[in-house]
Amino acid sequence: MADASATQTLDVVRNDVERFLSGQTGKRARIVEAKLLAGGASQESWSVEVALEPGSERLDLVMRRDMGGVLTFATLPRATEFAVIAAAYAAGVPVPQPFFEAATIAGRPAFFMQRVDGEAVGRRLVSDPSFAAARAKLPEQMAHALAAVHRIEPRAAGLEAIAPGSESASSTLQVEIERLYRELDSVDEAHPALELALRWLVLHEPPREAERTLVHGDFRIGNILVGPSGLTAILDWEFAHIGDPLEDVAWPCVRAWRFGNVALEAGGIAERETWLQAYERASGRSVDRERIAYLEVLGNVRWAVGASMQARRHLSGVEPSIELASLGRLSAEMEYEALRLISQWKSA
Amino acid sequence: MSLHDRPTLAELLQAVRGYLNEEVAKTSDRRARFRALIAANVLAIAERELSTAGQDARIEDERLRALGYAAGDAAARRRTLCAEIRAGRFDPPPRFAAALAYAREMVERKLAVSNPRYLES
Repeated sequence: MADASATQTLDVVRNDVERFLSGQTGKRARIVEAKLLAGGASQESWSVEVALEPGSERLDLVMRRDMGGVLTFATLPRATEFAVIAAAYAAGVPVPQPFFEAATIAGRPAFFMQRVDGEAVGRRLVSDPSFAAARAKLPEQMAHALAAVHRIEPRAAGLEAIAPGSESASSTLQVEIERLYRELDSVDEAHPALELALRWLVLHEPPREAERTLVHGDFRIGNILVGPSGLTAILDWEFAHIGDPLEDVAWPCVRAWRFGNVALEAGGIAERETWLQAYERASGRSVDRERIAYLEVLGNVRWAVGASMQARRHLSGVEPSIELASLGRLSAEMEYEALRLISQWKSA
Repeated sequence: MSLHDRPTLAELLQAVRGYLNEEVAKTSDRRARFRALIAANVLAIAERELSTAGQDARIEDERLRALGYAAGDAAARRRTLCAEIRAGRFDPPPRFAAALAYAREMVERKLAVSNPRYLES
């Protein structure tokens, strides 16, 4: 999004935000500063500093708001994402405290949460010397936080809405593979590499998942906030769903989420075994390494398809953006990685 | 040689990339700087594609023929290949290995244009 249009967007949302927060707080809420943060797949995040008058109280908030356009990603509606974050907060998972769920801000669903300090930019987290101490603590902290996510009882937390459609016979893997085929078809571009990888996933499908839990769905470096002493918050819950908890364990190992620090296979910050064993200790589960390797292939396919789909938001004219356009040429990296992993399967 | 005067097509792209890297990316606005670097990288991709497009097309044609797809333009043959992979016609291991070798070579050629450094690490 161009800065000019971001400014226009702020003008559009300002009145609604101030009116909504005044109603919620019973004071006159005035925006002191609002900045558009990096966007997610389906929504924008705003850093919003609000003064409550009369008085000197300030609120440091982040507003998550739907982006325009038709999206084909399996993302949660804002209200459901808010409910998931609220459940995670109640369960003691490090997340920003969710504050106000707004029906709509300037015509689009939105909610507000506490602004938490920390670094999210992956490349800095994996390479900046000032995060060395934090990096050493992260595998353990991430494992504890993720195990806590996986302990949340979805139904008790009022999250029935994100349970799978029915008690179908399909495994969550079959559901995911079918969804990826549909998404690839929506891209309408021949990808022999992805067809091969998907076919391989069908032919090598492991047994049905041992259990189903709440799954974050995008748990990785880049979607967590990290301060000097490590993890401060898990962000970006828009892909939360009910599924195999090991999805969340494998996802940070996908090469794209190592942010260039390729040799440290767990998110560019730790050896893979360090991460897997930390999760095993924190969760009490034993982690099937072969299943993780399979899910890593799946993860590469998922992000390859996702990048191609994001590029379509630019190509269709829904959201002109050089960033989105460039993602169309990123998918080759995940294709390469998926095929490399398939070629090495069990030959190591 | 092109009918057109210099700067050549490649030189035009290079000039814009230089402008993005040396001037636009020096702005103090963090988001604008970030996007300028992305734009410069996109131009670098375009420059590499211009220099390899002919060879890419020739090699893909050869490889598709070797897989048994001789007729039609490359895009149509690629689509047929995709449909047949999905239908399971490449499931027998020797067939799968042949398609995998084709796909890996093509992906490496795509990466040589989109991000050559990815292949180094």
